[in-house]
Amino acid sequence: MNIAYSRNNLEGRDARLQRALEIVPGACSWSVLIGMAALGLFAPQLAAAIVIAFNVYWLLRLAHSTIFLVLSYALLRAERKVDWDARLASLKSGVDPDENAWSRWLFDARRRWWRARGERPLDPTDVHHVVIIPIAKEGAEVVEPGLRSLAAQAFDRARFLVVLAVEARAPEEVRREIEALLERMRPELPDLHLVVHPDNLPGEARVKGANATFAARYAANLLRERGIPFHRVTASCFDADTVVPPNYFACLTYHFCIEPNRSRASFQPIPVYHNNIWSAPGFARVLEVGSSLFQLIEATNPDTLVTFSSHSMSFQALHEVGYWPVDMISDDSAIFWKSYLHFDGDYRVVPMFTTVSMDVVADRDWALTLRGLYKQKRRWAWGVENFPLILRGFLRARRIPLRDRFAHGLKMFEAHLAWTTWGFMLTIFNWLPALAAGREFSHTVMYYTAPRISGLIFNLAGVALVTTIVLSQLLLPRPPTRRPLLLRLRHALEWLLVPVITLIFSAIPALDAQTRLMLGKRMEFWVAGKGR
Amino acid sequence: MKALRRFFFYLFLAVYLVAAPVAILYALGFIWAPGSERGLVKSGLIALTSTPDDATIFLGPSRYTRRTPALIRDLLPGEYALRLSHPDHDDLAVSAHVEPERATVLDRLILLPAARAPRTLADGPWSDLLAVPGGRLLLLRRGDAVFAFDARDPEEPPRDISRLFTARPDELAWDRRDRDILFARYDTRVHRIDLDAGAIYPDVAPPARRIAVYRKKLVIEDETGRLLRVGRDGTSDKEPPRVPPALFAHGARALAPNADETRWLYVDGAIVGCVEPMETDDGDLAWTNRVLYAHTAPVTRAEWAHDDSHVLFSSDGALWLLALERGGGGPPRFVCSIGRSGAFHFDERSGRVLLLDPERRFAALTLAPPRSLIPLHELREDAR
Repeated sequence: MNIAYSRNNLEGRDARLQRALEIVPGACSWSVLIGMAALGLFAPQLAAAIVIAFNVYWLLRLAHSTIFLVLSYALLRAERKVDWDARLASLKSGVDPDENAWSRWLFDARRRWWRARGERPLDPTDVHHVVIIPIAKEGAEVVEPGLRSLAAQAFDRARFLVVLAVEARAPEEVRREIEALLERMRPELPDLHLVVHPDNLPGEARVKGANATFAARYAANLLRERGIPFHRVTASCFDADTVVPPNYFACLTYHFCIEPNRSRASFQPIPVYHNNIWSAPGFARVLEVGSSLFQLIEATNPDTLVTFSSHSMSFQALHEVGYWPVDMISDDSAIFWKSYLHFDGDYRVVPMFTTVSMDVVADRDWALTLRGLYKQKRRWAWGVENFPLILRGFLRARRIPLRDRFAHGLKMFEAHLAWTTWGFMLTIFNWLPALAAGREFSHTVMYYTAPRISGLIFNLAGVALVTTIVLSQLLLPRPPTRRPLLLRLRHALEWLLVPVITLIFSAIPALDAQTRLMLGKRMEFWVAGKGR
Repeated sequence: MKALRRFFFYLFLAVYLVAAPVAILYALGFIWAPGSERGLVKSGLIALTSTPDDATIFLGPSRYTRRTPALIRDLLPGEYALRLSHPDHDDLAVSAHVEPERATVLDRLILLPAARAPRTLADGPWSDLLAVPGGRLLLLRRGDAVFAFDARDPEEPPRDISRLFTARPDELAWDRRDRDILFARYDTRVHRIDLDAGAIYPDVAPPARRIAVYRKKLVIEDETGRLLRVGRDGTSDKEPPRVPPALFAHGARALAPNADETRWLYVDGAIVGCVEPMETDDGDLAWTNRVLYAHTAPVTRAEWAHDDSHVLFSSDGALWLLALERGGGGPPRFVCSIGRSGAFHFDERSGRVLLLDPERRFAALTLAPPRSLIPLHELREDAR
């Protein structure tokens, strides 16, 4: 389906519908918050009953998530042991790899599928990779580790096309650093290019997607010149600080090859923030580890999985959908939705149980880090800009099954509503009826019983918290210190900050983003301060 | 994985559909009563705290498994006889009426110590003990001599401040938050006395027939019968102060405010009553009057005790403890004998009653354990 995946240049009914849908998430969030505050003050018994219903729901969601978090971590652990090069060899040779891992099970299923069709998976030696690294103001110290990780890939480097996409508005010093880096790295990455994205191109906003799109078009021209068909190429758009493990592209190639509908798929690794995790402030560490764990949970649900942060996809699909949106901040998720609508729902995200590592937001001092984290989370929450576009698309996309449209729409709505309201529900509205209780409410059974029920629920939720702490410890790299145990113990205690963090760095920035969208205010891409 | 997710989704959905309504119904007070006739019924509860805590609870003839403070839940509506028992204290029997979905709050039930002989702090004979309810400054009189005493520091002997009084004052007033400033009326002249500096500031107000201190401000009734609020510089507000009418009718010391100054106790003959301000529709302040207890003999003095859950009053040579509804209700309990002046003062923070005993000695009786935490309103007052 051809739909303009943009809020700009709409007219008439489309423009009105777009504007109305932009208001929905913020209006719903504010309605919930104001409604709960009003009920807490004027109908505390009803508010307390709603809080109990919410707490039970939250506990079950937490239990559900914890089960799949554990499962997902087990898969990640198993997949880390896989020799992806041997796997790729087995694709060609037909000799079974002998590991016991999730991907082996997946491979068996896929192999049956291929055999039933009398075909074979794509030959890994035919696969090329385009890696695009958009750079706005990140210096060489941020970009270089990522390039070195690309150079360290066991995969044939001759089939790597790496494009450093630098904004023309980037500081001169940054441009000089990147040019010097290019020269330093070229011996290790022979097909390394530098593309400068001009500022203020027509129809573009100052967003990462515009830069990535400009670079992708450049790469497409190169591929065409070289006669490489797009359907054998993957496109990876990595944040400037992304460091990939040495077998990332072998893993990606494997998943790309065995995926029957590879030109209608994105490939999502688990983003972790390990580059500077032990030098970042505790609250930032907890927040980013939490994000990684959330992605681990999401990875177990490919049906509703959406691309996030650094990921890879079919270059053919990227080309067909017209590359990343050039006027949206949330390019990572927007490219999935744009593809999903473009291909009438015939598009999916394949989870890869491997990691890509990025930087935790860490600036010169705490205040700047706090500010940076807040802005980063608001930018993530600005993914809500996809909501009106998707729903507008869903209203027209008759070829996408209604059930799928409903499932995706509901999940997205619920996710954004939960993002803004859960933090307030758990930290404020749980106690508001009791705190604001007048004499009438303070003489009810509910007044005495509701806190006990909530207390019981929070105690049970402690099991999930302990599980999360254990998994976060397992997921994190070894602390670079002589006393790693102390640092790990400190990190375990940092999880006690979760209620505050949930409110300040999750609910409030999300509410901020939704309110801006509701009021018609726009955001531009803001580059988080990252230091090591 | 998809099947597993689906399985857990439906499992958790089923759990939610059962658990959430059950939790809400339970929070509302619904319980499943045994027996074929009962089924799902609405219950109530009793919230019970006592001073001292850790008292054994008897519900009817049965001993309850928990000690105070306790919530006695899942009670069918009706009347319940409770008895609290604590070593070295008199048992306390109270009755509680339980209604469906309602919590009957019996807060801070005071168990009186079995041995209640006041401890002498200063030998007498003292002629009077003056105190402002809620304050820590006490004045003791012996003839024309006046002594100051800090209610929170019982080891410190009374301090002679007689030199600060030029004659026997007709009236004394001070604010309970202020332990250093007194106002003394001599006929129509009003002097301010700074105990800390040992200074007298004469004629700080226009000629007055009566004086009182209300919310840290001196309030006088001038010679024409007008009420005026007087500032530190001796000027008075143009607007008449919004003070309880009983402030002067019963005298400042007979009118005892509670901790947050929302209710005032007064005594009138054998009556112990309470006045409360109430905003009228046109923005004026009206004062509602409620009789709390009618005693058999004239009441001399009354004070709130234990966060307004009780009233202590003196009458006919005895000190009585009246539990209000929140404190369990019931008839007043005899605390101890007291001097004929009926002078006493209850200090909330230390839990002690300071009084003049029948032999006119200055003595103290501990009614409740000292507060381990300072109440917020006292912190605010201290900060001021």
